[in-house]
Amino acid sequence: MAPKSPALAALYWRSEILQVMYWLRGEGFGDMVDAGLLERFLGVDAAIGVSYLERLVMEGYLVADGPFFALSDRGRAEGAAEFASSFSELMRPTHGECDADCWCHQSAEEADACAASRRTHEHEHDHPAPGADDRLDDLE
Amino acid sequence: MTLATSTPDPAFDGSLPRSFLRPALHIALLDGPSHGYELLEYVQCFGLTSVDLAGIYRTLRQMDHDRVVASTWEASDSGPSRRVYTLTDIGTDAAESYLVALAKSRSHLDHLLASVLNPAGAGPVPR
Repeated sequence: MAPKSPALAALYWRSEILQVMYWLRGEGFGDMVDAGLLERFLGVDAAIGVSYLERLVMEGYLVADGPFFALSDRGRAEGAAEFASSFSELMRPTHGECDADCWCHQSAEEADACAASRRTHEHEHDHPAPGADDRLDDLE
Repeated sequence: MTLATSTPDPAFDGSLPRSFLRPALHIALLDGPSHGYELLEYVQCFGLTSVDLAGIYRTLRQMDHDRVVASTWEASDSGPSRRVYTLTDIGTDAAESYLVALAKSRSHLDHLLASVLNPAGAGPVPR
């Protein structure tokens, strides 16, 4: 099931779409997909699937050709063997870099916020809950 | 009684039920590592003619997620890399369990057919 957080959902569908395209390419079916094919392979509604396909075009992973979409050079480059595994950690509700008590385990959204917080405060290792920084500031 | 060659049930197209797909994939992989299209051809030989590549992809993804298969990208000199699937130890155990279950199912089906076609000689229900 796709994550609810828009940011994680985009990452999830990017991985899912590129994976199925690499897979089909490896099976000898070429680079081209359309929204209908995604619906059959990934179970994502075609109307939603096409929005993610268009997003991947904007990000440079795909090129559009009418209703069809093909891997770009960048998209093919991302098809390295470790693609799926390297992104799988980011798609899980927990990112595996904090302890068992971290609030990020509550949901995908919290995990995303925690990961963003970690990127912002790389040297802070106590994983304060969202808003906790503000409260600490108020006490000072 | 003789069996009709056609069926009045519009939901039944004469092929085996799709729920045999996962057991069939397990058993196919007992022969060794394989990839999507090859597995599709294998299960179609089982009579699973309604299965398409999308069904194979989704089922293999689920089997990968369940850790009954492991998958890697196999590099090719002549074309793009191909995803190759191998049974894990858990998957091999599951495949053997499927074989036992299928043999038992066949025994029950044989008995069912015998009871219809030759009621006097059907004998007791197998356990």
